[in-house]
Amino acid sequence: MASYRIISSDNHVIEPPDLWVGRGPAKFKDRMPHAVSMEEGDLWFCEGQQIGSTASGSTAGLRFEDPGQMGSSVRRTEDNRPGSYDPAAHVEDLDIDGVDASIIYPTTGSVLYNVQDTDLLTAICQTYNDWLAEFFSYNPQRLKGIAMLNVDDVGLGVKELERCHKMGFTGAMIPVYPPENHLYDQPEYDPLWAAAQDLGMPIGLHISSNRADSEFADPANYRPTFICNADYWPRMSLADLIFGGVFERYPGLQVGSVEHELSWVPHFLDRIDHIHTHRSEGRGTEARFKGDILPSDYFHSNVFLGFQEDGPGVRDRHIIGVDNLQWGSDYPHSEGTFPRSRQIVEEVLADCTEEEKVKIAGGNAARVYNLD
Amino acid sequence: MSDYRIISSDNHVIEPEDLWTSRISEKFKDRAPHLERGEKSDSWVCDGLWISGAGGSGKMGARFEDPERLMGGGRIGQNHPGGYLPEEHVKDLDLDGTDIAILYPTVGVMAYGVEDGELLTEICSVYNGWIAEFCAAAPSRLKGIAMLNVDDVGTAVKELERGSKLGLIGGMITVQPPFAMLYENQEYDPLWEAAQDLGMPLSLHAGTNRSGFYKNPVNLRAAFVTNLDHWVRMALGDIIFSGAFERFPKLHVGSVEHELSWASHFLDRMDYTYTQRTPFPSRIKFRDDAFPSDYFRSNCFVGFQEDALGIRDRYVIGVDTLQWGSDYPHPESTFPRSREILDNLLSDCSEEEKAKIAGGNTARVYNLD
Repeated sequence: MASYRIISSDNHVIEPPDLWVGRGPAKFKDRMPHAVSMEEGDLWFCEGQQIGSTASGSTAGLRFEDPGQMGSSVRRTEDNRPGSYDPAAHVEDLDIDGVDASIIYPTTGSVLYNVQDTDLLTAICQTYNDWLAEFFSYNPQRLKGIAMLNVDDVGLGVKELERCHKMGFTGAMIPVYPPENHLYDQPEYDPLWAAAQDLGMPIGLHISSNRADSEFADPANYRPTFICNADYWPRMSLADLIFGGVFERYPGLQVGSVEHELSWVPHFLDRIDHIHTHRSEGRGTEARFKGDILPSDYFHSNVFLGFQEDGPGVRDRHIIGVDNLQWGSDYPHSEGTFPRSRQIVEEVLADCTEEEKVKIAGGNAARVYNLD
Repeated sequence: MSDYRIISSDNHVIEPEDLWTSRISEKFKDRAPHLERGEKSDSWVCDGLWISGAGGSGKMGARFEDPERLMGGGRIGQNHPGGYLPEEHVKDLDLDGTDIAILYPTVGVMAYGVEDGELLTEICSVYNGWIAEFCAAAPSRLKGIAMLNVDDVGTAVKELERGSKLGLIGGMITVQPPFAMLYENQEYDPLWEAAQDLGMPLSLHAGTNRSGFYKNPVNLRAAFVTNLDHWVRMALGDIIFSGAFERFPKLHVGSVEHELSWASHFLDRMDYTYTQRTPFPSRIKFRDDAFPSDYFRSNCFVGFQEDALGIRDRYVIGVDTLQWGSDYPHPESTFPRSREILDNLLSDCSEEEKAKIAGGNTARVYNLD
């Protein structure tokens, strides 16, 4: 067994069913996400819309034992692995799994970016952040919180980022793809990028956190094709950030793709440079960078990539950038590597040098999030 | 220089100014795609909507000599004659060392954004009559692809049958159908069946989004063009997961002008979703333990131009799926350096692989021999 330090750049909590109803501001109390026990399982609802199971932490490890059972039986909140909501149990599971530190994203919180009403979403984010701050305060060395930000109003997003930084959060998440009238290449986001840079708070773009969009809410999107092409949304956002010159203006800003694996990156890098140099859409003056810098250069210096088990992506690490890769376990979700993380990391990094293993398994996450 | 046969799986015609206005039926006379002359450049307009610039093929070759010249619009008179004169097209094939050209439209690609389905059907039908005449000038060298509007599947099947009778060798369908009628829908089965039985491969060309991506100005930005493979991945994923290739094992559906290197990630994700991603493992099961990627390798083809990463990944994507194309006479085309570019691109391939990728796969899928 290798001796390198493992940090999971993408762990999760499962929000307790009374998190939002129990803590939310009085004004939104009756509109907050709430759990309903139904025949097919315990489900979250918000604004009349069903937004997933309350028990997605109940099947950790099942993929190794009986994958045919995944998604085939009724799941209840009480089936959740305790580490999903109890920090002491989360740390115990880190020990079982040989993982040193856990960077923590929400579960239902990601999907809640689909809530249309912006004030309600802001309340959802703040309530979650207050709860998560208590969660990670149990062991701030091992548990690292990512704040949920609503950036519909950039000024409010900046205030929440500052508040969360004071509470000890490590980074923040924003929708993996914003509304089309408010794309990340727009200059009104600059105060957010400035604050994230100056506070040293990396920004994560997590899978399934698309901001409200009527088409996105359609059940037809929960089809296999949608899932296996999910890398589109961080690709769009990252291309907007790069072509928008954001990393030229904020060279200390770090933005990452989380839970979209890696092997889409070589094609993406090939295309952004091609569009920049060969296509009229990419050659507007706003897309020309100082010092002949190419779009892929900004990717290498300012973007990080959470991944789990992508063999072809690790093979292409020298194209993608060894310093950009951050392994994560996705604990306690059903597709996560728990409890076999150490074994899986060793397999997926088998061809890497010791130095590369140290970086990819934890060193890069420690550097980007200033964990040491 | 190697001596393998080169077939361009993705050449284009440049539609003449009067193609639609002179041939469209009385009913649509005032709504045909037509040219409008602006102060600095010409535009194609249909039904009150800008659908395309004009004159772009006049910049062919500029990418090698003066990339700055790629910016801005053009005039229809600047277009390369091979775009609209078949004998000139064949001369350029000779010049470029290319044996056969599979022909796609240019303005027609953008016409998939025309909202009125009946008008689009008419645009397709008029184009198909014209392209059949174009190809008839040199039938062994010029091979036309029929434009199909699949808003109404029955109508599309009829047009595919007509195209086949006219000597066209395949049909193109929108790369992004309306959300209410995704390709996973079994209402498409008559089309898949007809394409299989007629031996007409179906293709998904970049830019043929039924929504008319250019109607939304945010889609004309660099990020959108960078990530254009998304739409073909969605279409192919829906066709594969719907079991269409299980029901129609001889159907061929291909990606055109989206390059290659997205495919290895896409195949990995499809198989992962199929085997491990809740709840799909308990919902979808293909016969004979087939994986989604197996259907990709047996039933899909991938047109590409200059994707070295994709060639490196040819064993993952499937050597038999790759079909080189030059994109002549568009400004990003490899013309007049196709043979040199192919030699460089395929330098690590075996002779057998070169023969397949440069032309053999295209000949096989389109029954060209």
